[in-house]
Formats: sequence, structure tokens, C-alpha cells
Amino acid sequence: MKIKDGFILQDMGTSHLAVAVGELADSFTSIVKLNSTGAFLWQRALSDTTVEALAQSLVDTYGIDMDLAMRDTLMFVEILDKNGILEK
Amino acid sequence: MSENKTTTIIDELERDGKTAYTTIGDSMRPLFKTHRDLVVLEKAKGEYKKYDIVLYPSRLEGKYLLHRIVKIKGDMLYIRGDNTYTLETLHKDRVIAKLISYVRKGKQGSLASFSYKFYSRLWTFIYPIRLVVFKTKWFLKAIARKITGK
Repeated sequence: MKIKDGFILQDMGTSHLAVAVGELADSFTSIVKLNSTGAFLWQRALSDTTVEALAQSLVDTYGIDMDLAMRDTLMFVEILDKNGILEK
Repeated sequence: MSENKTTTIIDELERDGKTAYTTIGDSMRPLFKTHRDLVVLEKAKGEYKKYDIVLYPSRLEGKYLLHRIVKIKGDMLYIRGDNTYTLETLHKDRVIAKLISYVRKGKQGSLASFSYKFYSRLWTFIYPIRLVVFKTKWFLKAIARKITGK
């Protein structure tokens, strides 16, 4: 899975916003608001990846345990999937 | 992680005082092109300068316009899109947000940069010339339509 092409991730200081541009902007008109972990996962999901690989990158970067990393990643992926942001 | 979600520009302005969005429409060309560029907006604070780009409600319900201030007189703002030829007046209390940054053709832009400042001032200054060019084009097209009957 990966995030569809056509989003710009903008650092807003306290959060990040992902906004669709180009052709994607016709069908995707919402804004995705991300915290720092969300933005971290977002950047890693721009190229083809898996839930496990994303969770592992959280473990490696933030030193959290795998259970928590998996839970966070699944929540993140679910939100993306529900909103049609993922390409499978 | 529950903080991650989808939202709208007006919600974000209310909650965070800032938002980002892709531009729609050609009224701010050549600066912004439909769905190519991204604008970063900050909730209105009531302070405006000439050349500021502001977001305000359109006469069409639920729509918003992002145009440039070309003149200020007291509390009234005189506003025009970089690619439009009408001057709108707007009370400053009706402004919702102000442009603070942008991404153009995929590159981060800055309102403080020389190129942006130069463009803003020059583009506003040469408006009379742009208007003549626009009217001439329109006139020539009208003649062409008459001749060709299309």
C-alpha cells in the first residue's frame, strides 16, 4: 500500500496538513491533519510499504515498543483507508 | 493518533488559527493556478496592508475568494484578483484569513522574498496596462467573431 500521488504535506508549526493538488483535488476536497507521528508515517507511506514496516520505523525512530507502534500505525492506516487516501 | 483526521479550511482556521489549501479558480493567475498550488492562511487579525492577499466570503453562499488588497481607505479594503478586472470593496471585518505562505509549482514560497514582493508591486502597478491589453484582446476577439460569424 501507499498514499496516492498528488498530496502536498505542509508543516504548520504545531501540526502538518496534507492537501490534495492536481487531478486528485477534484475528488479529494478535505484536508488531512496530522500530528508529528502522523507526518512521520505519511512521509514513509509515500512509497509502497506495509503496516509492519511502518510500525517498525516507529520503533526504530521513537524507541517505543512494537505493540504501541502497531496500534498507532493501524489507526493511521485505517483513517487513510477510510478516506480513500491509500492505493493498494 | 486520534488527532490525525480529515478536516476543512474554516474548521481549521477556527481551531488552530491557520490552515492550508489548494487554490481553485484562475483569478489569481499568474501567481496561483487551479489545483497546482497550495496557500497557507492565517485567521484574520484585523491588520492589513496594501498587497496583502485575503480570504473573504463570496456573494455565492458557501464560496470564498482569495484576492489581493490594492488600496486601503479607513476600514474599507479595495480588492482585486491578480487576473481579474473588477475592483471590489470590502469592509475589513469581513476578511476571514490572510495569506502567510504558499507552495507554487511544488516549491515553498515566501511573502518576504524579493521575487514575491517585486511581483506583487509590479503586477499591481501595471494594472492599467494589463487592463488595456485585456480590453484590446476582447475587442479583437469580438471583431473576429463578427467577421467569421462564429
